Amino acid sequence: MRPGPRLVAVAVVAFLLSGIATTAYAAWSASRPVASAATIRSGTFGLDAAWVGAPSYTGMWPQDPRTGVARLTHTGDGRWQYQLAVTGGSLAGLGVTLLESTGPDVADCTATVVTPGAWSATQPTGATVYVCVRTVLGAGSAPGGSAAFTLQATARNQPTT
Amino acid sequence: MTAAPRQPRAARALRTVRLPVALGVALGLVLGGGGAAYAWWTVTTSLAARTASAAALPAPTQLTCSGLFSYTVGWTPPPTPALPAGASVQYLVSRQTGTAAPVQVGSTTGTSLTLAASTVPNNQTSTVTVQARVTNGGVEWTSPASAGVSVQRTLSIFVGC
Repeated sequence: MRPGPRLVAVAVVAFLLSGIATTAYAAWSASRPVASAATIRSGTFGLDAAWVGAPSYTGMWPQDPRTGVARLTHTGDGRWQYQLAVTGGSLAGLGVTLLESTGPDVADCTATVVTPGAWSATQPTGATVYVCVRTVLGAGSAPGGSAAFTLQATARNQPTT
Repeated sequence: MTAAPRQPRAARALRTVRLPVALGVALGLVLGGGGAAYAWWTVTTSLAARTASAAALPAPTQLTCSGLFSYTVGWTPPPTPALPAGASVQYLVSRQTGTAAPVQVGSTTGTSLTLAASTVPNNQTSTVTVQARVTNGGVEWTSPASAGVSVQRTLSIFVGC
């Protein structure tokens, strides 16, 4: 037997009052423009990278490391991260290690290895970061021979908050 | 009074499907966070290339030889960059008779070595050469062999250069 009209009406009212049927509410609204106009602009983002001084990696003896320091400086807006990679350096027995540094001197190098290809912690806007580049000829190396290598730095922006 | 006709079953089924789909899409957007919407600015730069090279280790030069009942070989050490602290240099003296492989007959850290007549075969001419060996941190580098000097043992006890 179908429900009567009165029963249907009661059910509808009960449904509306139960709060489930939110679409039954009609809201009052009002809008105003913001008093001062906001300017939106795109920022800038750059990275300066250079060696500190002119480190020499020539004439190495076996197991006699040489260390230089690279400086990375962020320019522009926003926070940032950096990532490093070493290319080239095809010299038998040559090992290249990147180390965190607290300053521009070789004496500022720490023992913390910077993993090539891994993104760093987020850095503040405009920060300068120093990285030590250490080379050593180990097992399998031989006298003579040379190879050029390049340190490549990549930076990317990070959200402000 | 006649009751309102019921809607077809298919229409009722369609309405019941639409709502869950809409809710599912809404939940997906909220929970998924729209990660694909993030885009990073990245910049890449390379520092000036550096050259890594191994120190050269040429052969000793200016071999001398003198003998009678024994023979003494002298040489001039090869020119090399200053060695790191802890590195050692040794000179290896070898003789080669005919087409046989060179045989090491002695070593020293000095610049000359006296060898017994028995280190060269009797009634044969041998070529004596000297190599420099640098050892540091467990890694050895050996120079090429120097130009040789001829040594001949006769009557079992006499050695002439």
